[in-house]
Amino acid sequence: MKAMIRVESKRIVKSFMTLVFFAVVVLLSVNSSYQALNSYELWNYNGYVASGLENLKHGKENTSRIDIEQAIAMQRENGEAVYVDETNIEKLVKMNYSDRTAKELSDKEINRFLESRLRIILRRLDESSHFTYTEKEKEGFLERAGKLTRLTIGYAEGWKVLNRDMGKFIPLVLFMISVLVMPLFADDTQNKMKELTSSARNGKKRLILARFVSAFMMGSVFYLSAVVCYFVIKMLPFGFEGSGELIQSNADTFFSTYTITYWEQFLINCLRGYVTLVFVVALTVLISAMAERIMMGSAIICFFWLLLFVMEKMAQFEVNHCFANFLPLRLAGSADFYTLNEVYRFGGNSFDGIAWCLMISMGVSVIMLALAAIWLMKERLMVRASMRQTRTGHMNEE
Amino acid sequence: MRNMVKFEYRKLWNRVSIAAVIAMCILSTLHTFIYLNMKGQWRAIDANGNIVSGLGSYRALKEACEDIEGTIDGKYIENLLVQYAASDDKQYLDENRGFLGTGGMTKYMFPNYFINYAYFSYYMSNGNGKMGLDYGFLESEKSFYQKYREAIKEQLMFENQYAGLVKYTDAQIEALDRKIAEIDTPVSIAYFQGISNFMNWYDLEYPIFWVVLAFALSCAYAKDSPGGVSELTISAARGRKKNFRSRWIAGNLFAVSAYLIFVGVLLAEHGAVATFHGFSASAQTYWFDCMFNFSIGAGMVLKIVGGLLGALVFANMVMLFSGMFKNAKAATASAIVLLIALSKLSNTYSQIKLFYPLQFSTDAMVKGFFFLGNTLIPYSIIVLLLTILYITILALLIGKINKKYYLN
Repeated sequence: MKAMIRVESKRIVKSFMTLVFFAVVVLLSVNSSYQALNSYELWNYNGYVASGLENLKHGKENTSRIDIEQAIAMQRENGEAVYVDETNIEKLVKMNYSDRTAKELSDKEINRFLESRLRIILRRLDESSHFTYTEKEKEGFLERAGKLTRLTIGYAEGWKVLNRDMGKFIPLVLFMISVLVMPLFADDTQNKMKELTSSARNGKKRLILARFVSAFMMGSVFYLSAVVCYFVIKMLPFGFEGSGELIQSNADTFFSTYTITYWEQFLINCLRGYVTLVFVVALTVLISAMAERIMMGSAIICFFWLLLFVMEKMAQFEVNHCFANFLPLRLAGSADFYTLNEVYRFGGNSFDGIAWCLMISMGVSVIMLALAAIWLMKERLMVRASMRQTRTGHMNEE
Repeated sequence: MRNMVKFEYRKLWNRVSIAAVIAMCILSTLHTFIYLNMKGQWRAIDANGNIVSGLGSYRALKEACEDIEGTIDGKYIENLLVQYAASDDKQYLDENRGFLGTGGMTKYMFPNYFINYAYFSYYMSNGNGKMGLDYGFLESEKSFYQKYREAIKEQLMFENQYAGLVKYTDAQIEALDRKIAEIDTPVSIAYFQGISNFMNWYDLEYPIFWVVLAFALSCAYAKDSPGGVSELTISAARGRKKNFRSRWIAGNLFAVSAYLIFVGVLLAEHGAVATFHGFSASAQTYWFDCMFNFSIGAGMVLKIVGGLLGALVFANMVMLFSGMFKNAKAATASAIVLLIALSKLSNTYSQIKLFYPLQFSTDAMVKGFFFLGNTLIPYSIIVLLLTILYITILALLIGKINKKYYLN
């Protein structure tokens, strides 16, 4: 069995496509890092002020892990917000106090910064146009959000852009992995090897099992290598500092009710990506087993992803909540899971968006794998059924 | 030859192309019905002032629009001012400021948007804020159309200043003035939401249709495909040249057939939901800055024809890749990369994008133009010439492939 898995895995690893895969991963990572760095370039009415690296350097040198209240008070004295360490604080103030600046805040408002955040979260829950939350659900959200009793502001720009941009990178990696895995069950060659291997002694059951294992094993290897590559390339220009900062220090996730660090958010993102990988590989196995031809399977996979992109472009809450949240593009990439406070109700219980979508997605993956196995074994099952029928017929005759 | 084309055409309808066409139809249908049926989004104020949502909203809007259809002349404007001021629709819009910007619809958006364009010109968008009729130029038909013509000129000059390939000369500006003066006024207006929906969905899905071509035509000259080039193809007497030519014709015929299916599915779906009423209304009521005198329906047909020409150019590109790489997968991958590149390159305000075949199906086909000296040439003519040029070059390159085609 081990030998079969090794041989099947080599079929993927040795291919030219693997080289293309890693080349594309490196290119995407470098491009993503470059774009993120460029977004830190500073310009004003007079023109160019500082490069992205200079801005980040200023941020590193001038950010010490101090409490948000203290940081706002210092920013109030400082006045102007130019560099990233200053604009970060201004962005948080703007989020919490409807477009006001640190300069405009009183001491009382500064001291009640986190209380104000909780009030806004409660108001958002009350006024949500998507859900009518029960009191229990609201209490749950507020209890979780209330765990944030102290917020420090340190330098964590690398982690912020990493967690923000990996939502675009992972779906691309998963799409490429599905193309790489496709030849395991689909084949375009004319050499009749498929018929030969299927009729061999260990041809069906063991071969199919070996291919299943190879698909997931190699998918996992590709996924992990791509994530490591992206992590290193993306973080290099920004530095690795700030993994222990809370995600609320980022304006994008300031109102998130999850009190977690950037490192934990990265791990959750990786886990979401991995569950999505299982879904994508299961879907690819099912489609390639049914289509039998690589090109046909690729066409179907391609249109499946296009459908997901169209849904993402239309950005409709109902479609996302009931459908797209369980499918690869949003499951692996959407940041809404941290901020939208989505709940799924089932059997009188409310479940968190992230946990529920991952769970359902895993369930669907298992069903798809079972369907693929049945499809691949259908001839064997049909032969068995007809043999059983013949035997019953003979017994009846006797 | 005709028989060969017939057989090659049949070969192109293989499992891959059929799967791609079916997948495209499913995607298009889901896209249409899921989003047109969004009850929270698509809402219309019906003839009685009630809100109807979901698929039924379009029919309700059409029924309500019977009041506002006609020719926008002095009398029409006069009536509209009185009717709108006293309407339930205005009251509802005043109370719900985000209604039109979030998928809400009222019968008054057809005439009011057109009138507001005369005021806002380049800065026109949609929403409650673009529904007002409190303008001095509405005193008479003459002053309104005078202002409307000024708005068109303002927009064209603004676009030329920031995105034009070459800045207009004085003589060209004079030609522009003459063309704007020739616009047929007063314009006729009608409900056209079905046509509008069709065109929005068509613009969104057109690049997706190209993916079908990328998969289906990649096998045309590939040797790794059951329908591709084999020993038999290149060794038959007079076979190579004729066969390669018939493959090229069949590939183009396939592109036309698949395109008709794509457009047919969209037409059937949007026609069934919102109808194609308003076909004969003036193009200016939909494309406010259009200087050419035809109907909205004719504009829609022009866009469809432009899309077909763009698809034919892309089909030839895919066939060229197929012949260059002699490998269907490489040809498909290259065609998809080209499609992504064209989409990315189209994200610019510059007029240079109008030379890309992906743009042949856009609104520019209806309202775009270029100057040749002091003569104003519609973009639709340019598209036709570009298509002939592109396809000729691509066909010549494809023709060269048969001379040096080695199987091993």
